[in-house]
Amino acid sequence: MSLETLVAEARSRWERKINPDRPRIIISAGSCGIFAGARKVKTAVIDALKRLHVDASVEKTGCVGLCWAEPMLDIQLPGRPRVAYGPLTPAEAAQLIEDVVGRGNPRVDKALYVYADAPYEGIPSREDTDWFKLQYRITQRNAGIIDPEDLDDYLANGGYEGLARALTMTPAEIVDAVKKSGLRGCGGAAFPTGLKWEFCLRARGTEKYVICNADEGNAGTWKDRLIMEGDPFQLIEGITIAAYANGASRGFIYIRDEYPLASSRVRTAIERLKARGLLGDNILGSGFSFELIVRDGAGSYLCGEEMGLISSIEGDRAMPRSRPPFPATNGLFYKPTVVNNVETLANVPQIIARGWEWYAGLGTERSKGVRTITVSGAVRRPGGFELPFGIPLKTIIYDLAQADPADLKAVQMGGPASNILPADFVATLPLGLDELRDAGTTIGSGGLVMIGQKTCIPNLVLQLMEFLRDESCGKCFPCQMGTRAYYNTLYRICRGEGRPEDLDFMLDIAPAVQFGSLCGHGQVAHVPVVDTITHFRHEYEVHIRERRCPQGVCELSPVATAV
Amino acid sequence: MEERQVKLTIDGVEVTARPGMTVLQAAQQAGIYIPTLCWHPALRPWGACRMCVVEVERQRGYPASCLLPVADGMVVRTNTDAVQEIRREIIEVLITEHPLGCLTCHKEDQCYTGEPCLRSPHVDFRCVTCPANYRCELQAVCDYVEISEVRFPFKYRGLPLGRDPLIATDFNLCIVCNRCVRVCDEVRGIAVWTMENRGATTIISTSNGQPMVDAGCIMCGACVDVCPVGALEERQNRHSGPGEQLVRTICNYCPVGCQFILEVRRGRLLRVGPDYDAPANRGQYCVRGRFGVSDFVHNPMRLQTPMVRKNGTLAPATWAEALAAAAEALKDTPPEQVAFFATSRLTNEELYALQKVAREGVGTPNLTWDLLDWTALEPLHTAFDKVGPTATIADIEKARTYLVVGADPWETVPVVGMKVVQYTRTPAITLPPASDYFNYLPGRALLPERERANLILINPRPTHLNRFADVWVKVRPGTDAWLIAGLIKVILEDGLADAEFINRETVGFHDFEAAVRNLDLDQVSRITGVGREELVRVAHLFAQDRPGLIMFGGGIVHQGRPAVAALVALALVTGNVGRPGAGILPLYGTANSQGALDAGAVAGLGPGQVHLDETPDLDSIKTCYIVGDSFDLEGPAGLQLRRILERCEAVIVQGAYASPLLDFATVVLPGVSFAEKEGTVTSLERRVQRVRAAVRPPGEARPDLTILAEIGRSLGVEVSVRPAEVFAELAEQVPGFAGLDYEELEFEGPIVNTLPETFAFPDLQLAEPEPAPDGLITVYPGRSFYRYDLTTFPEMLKTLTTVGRERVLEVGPELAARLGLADGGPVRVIGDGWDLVARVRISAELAGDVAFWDFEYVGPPAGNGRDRLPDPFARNPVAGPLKVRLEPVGG
Repeated sequence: MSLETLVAEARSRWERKINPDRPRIIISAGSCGIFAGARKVKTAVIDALKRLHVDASVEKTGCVGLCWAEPMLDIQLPGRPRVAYGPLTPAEAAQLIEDVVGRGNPRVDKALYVYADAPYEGIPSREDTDWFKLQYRITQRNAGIIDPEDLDDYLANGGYEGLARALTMTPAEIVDAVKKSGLRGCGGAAFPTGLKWEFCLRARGTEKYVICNADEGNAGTWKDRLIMEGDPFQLIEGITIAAYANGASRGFIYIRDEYPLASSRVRTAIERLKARGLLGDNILGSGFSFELIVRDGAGSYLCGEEMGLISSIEGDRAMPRSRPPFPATNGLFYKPTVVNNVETLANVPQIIARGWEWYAGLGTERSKGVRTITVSGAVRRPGGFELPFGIPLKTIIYDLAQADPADLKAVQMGGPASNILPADFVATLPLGLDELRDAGTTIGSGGLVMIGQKTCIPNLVLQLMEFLRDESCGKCFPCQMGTRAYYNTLYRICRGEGRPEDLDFMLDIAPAVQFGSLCGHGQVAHVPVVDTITHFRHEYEVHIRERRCPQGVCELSPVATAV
Repeated sequence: MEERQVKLTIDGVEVTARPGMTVLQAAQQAGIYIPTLCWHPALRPWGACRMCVVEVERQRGYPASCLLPVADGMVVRTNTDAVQEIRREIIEVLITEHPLGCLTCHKEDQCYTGEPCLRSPHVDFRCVTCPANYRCELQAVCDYVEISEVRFPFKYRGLPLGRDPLIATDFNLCIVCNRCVRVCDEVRGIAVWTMENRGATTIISTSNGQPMVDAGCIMCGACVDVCPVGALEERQNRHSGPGEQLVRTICNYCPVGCQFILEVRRGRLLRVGPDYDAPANRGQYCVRGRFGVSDFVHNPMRLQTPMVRKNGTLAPATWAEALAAAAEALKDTPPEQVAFFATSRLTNEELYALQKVAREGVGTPNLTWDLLDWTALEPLHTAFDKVGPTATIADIEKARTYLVVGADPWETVPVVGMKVVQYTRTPAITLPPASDYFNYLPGRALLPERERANLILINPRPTHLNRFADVWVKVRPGTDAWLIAGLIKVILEDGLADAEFINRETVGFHDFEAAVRNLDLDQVSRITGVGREELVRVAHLFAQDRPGLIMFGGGIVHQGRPAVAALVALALVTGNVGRPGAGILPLYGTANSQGALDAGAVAGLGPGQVHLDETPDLDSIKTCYIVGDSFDLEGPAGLQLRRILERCEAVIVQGAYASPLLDFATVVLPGVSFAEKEGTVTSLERRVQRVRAAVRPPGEARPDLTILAEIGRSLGVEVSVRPAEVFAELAEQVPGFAGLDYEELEFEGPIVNTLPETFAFPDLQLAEPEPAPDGLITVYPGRSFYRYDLTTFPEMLKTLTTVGRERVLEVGPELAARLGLADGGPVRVIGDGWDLVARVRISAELAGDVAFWDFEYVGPPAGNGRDRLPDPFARNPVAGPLKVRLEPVGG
């Protein structure tokens, strides 16, 4: 079946779906929504519908990124636009159904936005709300709108245009387009994706692999989950294009074991795609075959490290190998391999479909395109936002996530082993890869964690270090033993048993940990310690000299308090 | 062709290196020290310890030099302040959990090598609790990076000590360099060790912490050798400190010719150290060589004084008395009634001297060594002008197909077995279909340096190598000659023979072809029990994927000439002679079997393997001269020797141990073990290497060559006491040895394989195998690497007998059912004049009236002293399988 036929069929189904003849209730059923109570909400909704004797379709969708508004649900009445409501308790949801579906009351008080160009009954249009007006949604464009397990929904919304176009191009042309688009890796290191592909394309060897790194382990980052749970088809299309561009006939998607829903949705998507001939042998009659294998994560943080992930797929303990040789030449089973992050690959279909010029026009001169930022911690409205580069971080923190300026002490940028900077300083920075690097920091994997005034910084770093220590793979000495030394020292400080020379000791071993370590884990493990000693030294000193915790978080040992 | 050279500068010194080398290798070559902990010469670089970090001009960061390839114009600095600081800080955090008493003791200045004191440091980190004190690489690195103070509290991990035999483990000392894990996996192909836990609690362990032997350990000691600290140590002598003197010599247990370094301290052998430059074994050993030497040399059963039998009892005597008595006995007996028995553990010089004394001094043809009937190997002589290998151990690396027949190299010549495993285990990495992927563990994805070789095993029973084999041909015992002949017929019929090679380099092909043409493949199938398709498959595999290397062992030799002839013909027909990676490698039973043949210490074969017209006759022997200890008198084979000795009037025993031979001895001349003498030995690949004296002989014992020279002098034969002179004399007579200088055999003994210009096809005389007499079961022996085949007195090797597997008799299910044997139950094995009890293991792979056992000793000898059995290949005088009756015990 040709793509045109598939898309035409999908479009007609989609049209029927969005112009329903009976009420549609669409429940936001990402992991976040489910944890917030979406299942109970769904039960309440169904019960309410039964009570009303209304024939309605209850559907599911992925997360739209408004974490604070979960559990959410959208209601569309026949002939009316789709309206989003949240957050809802099951009782509120039942009441909402009775009001909206039963009585035709739009319930403006609970409404968030409406999927329409103009406001409806006083409910703002989705694109006019604070949260969406600054966003430029590419990887998230379908998340929260389509059913993530329904291929027709995706095909009707521009799906597989990218692959169809890619199959008319040569691999070198695709690599060139990706290069020119300025797309850079979204996993943290921000390596130019096109360049990586070029290395792999040029590498000798007939057997090559594409790996999608979906082992998203950084605390405070969940952008990949949003993509996999909200729109897995787009990701798989991206992987397929990457495979075609790199000459790979087999690929892996390595999904974190803590993401069972993402894993199940990706698996479902693979089955759906195989059934329609969009994955597997002879895709769209082009002669190009690609097999995608889902691999469950082995449960260690280092499984998300490029080389550790490769070891893990090979069946070994996830321990990074030394680079060079890089995976592009000696990757999985020592064959040329491209390893890309979920978000990176999810950007590819649109870049190919709309052309690199479009993507390169987004963002700033130095940092092109968009990036999903997830904000959590001491904010009123945590969530995930896909934003073009160039937006001030201030806007993200205070306008989108609505942090309280008076309460905000510090910001941790992108992962547990990343910079912890004073909030005032962060507010001066723009979102941008090179721009942030100039300022001595990085956006990492895109997770911003807001640290409030009530947080004890040494205690926070102690907890981060416990994580980093336990998740060190145990291979190289500086990381394994450095994180242990950091943890032990911080532990003593937080117990009130710190010594004045401890701070210098921690700073002294930082270069050894940074320059000595084999992979990124150890190379940045010192960062939270060094940053906080630089910016929040007084908090440490209070712990050490006065043997007290200003925030009252640390449990000081009795011996220490007696001093 | 000149190889391209890379020029780089390391610490201001211009260094030349080969492309592909690492900076670390280049530095080591130039004598520049870079500290390392996880790097090891025998292993792939790992890059974990980061001790070898260097600074490179115009390069960011501090790369690890063990993984950094050299490049032209590179400027490397190995000990700048920044680099040293990184190393120092890593060490500082490392020793927060590694006992550090040896570094921080305030009495360190007064401390001298290996002299323990109990004074200063706390018991958790006291230097004397560490077996590696003064032998520790971490200490050396700490010295280099100048650790002056430790700013951090020490924490003792409190992990329990290991309770495994032979190897003492203390992971409180472990620094997780992963060397043991890697050597066990990469080099030995066993993977006993693994990393457990993550992060700061990462530790080395066996899988699930089971005992090492249960995890598959063969106690080769490779992990002990590579451990940079004291976490893995040899149990014996582990607190004795480092050796004062290091002596490089050759292991005397099996014929691989492993070089090792003996550590000697105050006249005692402490332990065996690895020699990673050793040509044959590259620093790898088996349990016998690694752990069985000190016990073997310093043994309470060593003979210390000459003895002469007076009034029915052996009484100490002076050397003059003993030698005179021996000479008198030899002179007074008619030459044809004198017999010489030698063990082929002796050096080439001793074997040469012995045959000279026998032939020239006494004039007897009764010259016998372990392998009495060398004529089984005569087809090798016919084809190659000598009995010996046509390939080397290094050819294992080049061969594409291995054909292992009637041998278990894994147990008998473990280092050869290890090499076979190395080249057959590396999986050719292909993924199964995606649906199977979750059930599939691809194993270690080693960087394949080449494709894996094919392994064809021809053996009636499964061995360890089976798991690496492409084909296991389950041949009916004793019919290998038929099987090989069948393979040759298939090769000739299917046009797979190397016609060009046959025409150019061989003679006698037409006669041979005529003999094979008559062979009926159906008859072959019927006799060998191997189906025709399998025959064709194996023949095609061996003939098509060349070069092919044939390895055979005792299982073939005891079948006599036809089997060996068939193997020689197979090599010739496929052109697998005289090419890299191709050839025949006989896996002998004892250390110097090849040397005994070359030195001519065998009836019918003179020095240089010259044919002599000699027929030994052992029926009317009156005087025996026995050199060596590995003679058995108890088992079925030993009974024949016992009968000879019982008839003798004089028995002269020259040996190092108080063996049961002393019961018959009239004169005892105390010889020495291999660690106390000088000379040369020839390995199974015909590599001539030097044996060196490491310790002084105990008591009045004298080197065997000295004793033989004395005996020779009294018989009027000139034999030098200096091995160099005897070697020179021998070298004149052995074609391959010509031009070899004893002194120049210093480190890397040469391989002296010379091949003739043309190879003659041997006669192929196949005989129908005789059916076993009714009611008797044929038992085939195997061997275990935990045992010296010196079964006469296994008490000698206390260390090795601490690891033991039970004696197990393997029988097929059908036989077990008929005899009423239960799996795991006891069975009495009754032979001709002996019997013993073994445990039954029912192996589904076996059929017919055959049984197997690993030939090994268990526990102390039973009261009747009969609980011992001979090993036919290495033993005299009767070789081959045994006919026994089996009875259930207590049934």
